[in-house]
Amino acid sequence: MTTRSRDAATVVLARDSASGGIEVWMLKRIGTLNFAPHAHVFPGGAVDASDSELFPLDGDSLINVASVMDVEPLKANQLMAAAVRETFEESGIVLASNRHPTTWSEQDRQDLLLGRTSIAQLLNREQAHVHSQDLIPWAWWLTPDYVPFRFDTWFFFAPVREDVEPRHVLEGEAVEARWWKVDEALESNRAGQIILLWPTLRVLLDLNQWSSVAEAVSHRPVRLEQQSG
Amino acid sequence: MTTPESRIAELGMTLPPVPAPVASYVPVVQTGNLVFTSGQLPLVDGALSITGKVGAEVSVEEANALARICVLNAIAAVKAEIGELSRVRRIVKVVGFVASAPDFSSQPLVVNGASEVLSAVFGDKGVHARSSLGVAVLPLDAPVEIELIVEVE
Repeated sequence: MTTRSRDAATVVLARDSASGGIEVWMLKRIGTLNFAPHAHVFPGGAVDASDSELFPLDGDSLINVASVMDVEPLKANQLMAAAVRETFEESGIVLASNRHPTTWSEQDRQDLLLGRTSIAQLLNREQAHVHSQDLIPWAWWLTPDYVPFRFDTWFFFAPVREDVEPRHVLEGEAVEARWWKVDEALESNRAGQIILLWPTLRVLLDLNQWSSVAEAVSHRPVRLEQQSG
Repeated sequence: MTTPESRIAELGMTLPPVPAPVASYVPVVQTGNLVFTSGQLPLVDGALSITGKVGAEVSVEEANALARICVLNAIAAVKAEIGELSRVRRIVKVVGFVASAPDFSSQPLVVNGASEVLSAVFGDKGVHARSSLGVAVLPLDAPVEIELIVEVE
């Protein structure tokens, strides 16, 4: 029997760099993980059961976003909930905060990690909504079939405000986390100083074409196509 | 105000009309504050789009999609009985029957389709107990059948 792939979401937190160009936030994974040890990655992870709850989305309708992602609305909701959840779990950033300040705590983060609450419940508690402009479907990658851990992964582009600062809170899986200028990350990768998975590299190469987050957003994909890598 | 009905619309789904029973039973029975549905097949306009055994001629993905149709039919039956779905206090139990090839053992992956719809439509009220059973054959050679127990106000 072939290995069934798991649905996953990855979030490219992005902001304009003070010195021009775009900065993205990446974590360096520890060396003892089965999947992608030592690699620099964007926050993200697999969909879990709590992500099925429908969460409040402003802006584009769920049906329209699902059409861009080329999935059914139910699955689009799961993937976006996983994106919001993993971003909060790994960076402390609540993507709804861009427009609706929220007060999620370390206790909320622990409750999420232990499955005692869901993203939909936390958003509803704060009467916060995620805006479709803050979580833009960006790319869709399936790990190749020779990789023992298969992830069918939707990448989202998430512009964050200058005053929203992620924190390195992912104990156990990441040794460090920080903002990288896109060209700096590409240069470090060329120099062999950091390891990037192919999809991560492709996202960075794409972003390197644009001089600002706004310019990148104006070139957002109209419809995603699954790529292998 | 979001209601289960508005969430169903947001998900691009529609509640079908409740089909008349094919024998001397009713689609739904309410006793006290519990509503029991009869087993729901993935009928769309009275017909099955796919028949056969999961793990043989029917894939897990197809069967998962059929489980969602079954549960929409079940939700429609509950709504026909109670009027507004906002009267649902919680989904108590889901029983999923999966017509299975002899070596097929991933019945939960099939019934997940129903659980995901319930979670999306009813939020934390949609969290339920569940049984997923593999069976040799179902009526009309349907791949999946789902029944619900719902507590109402």
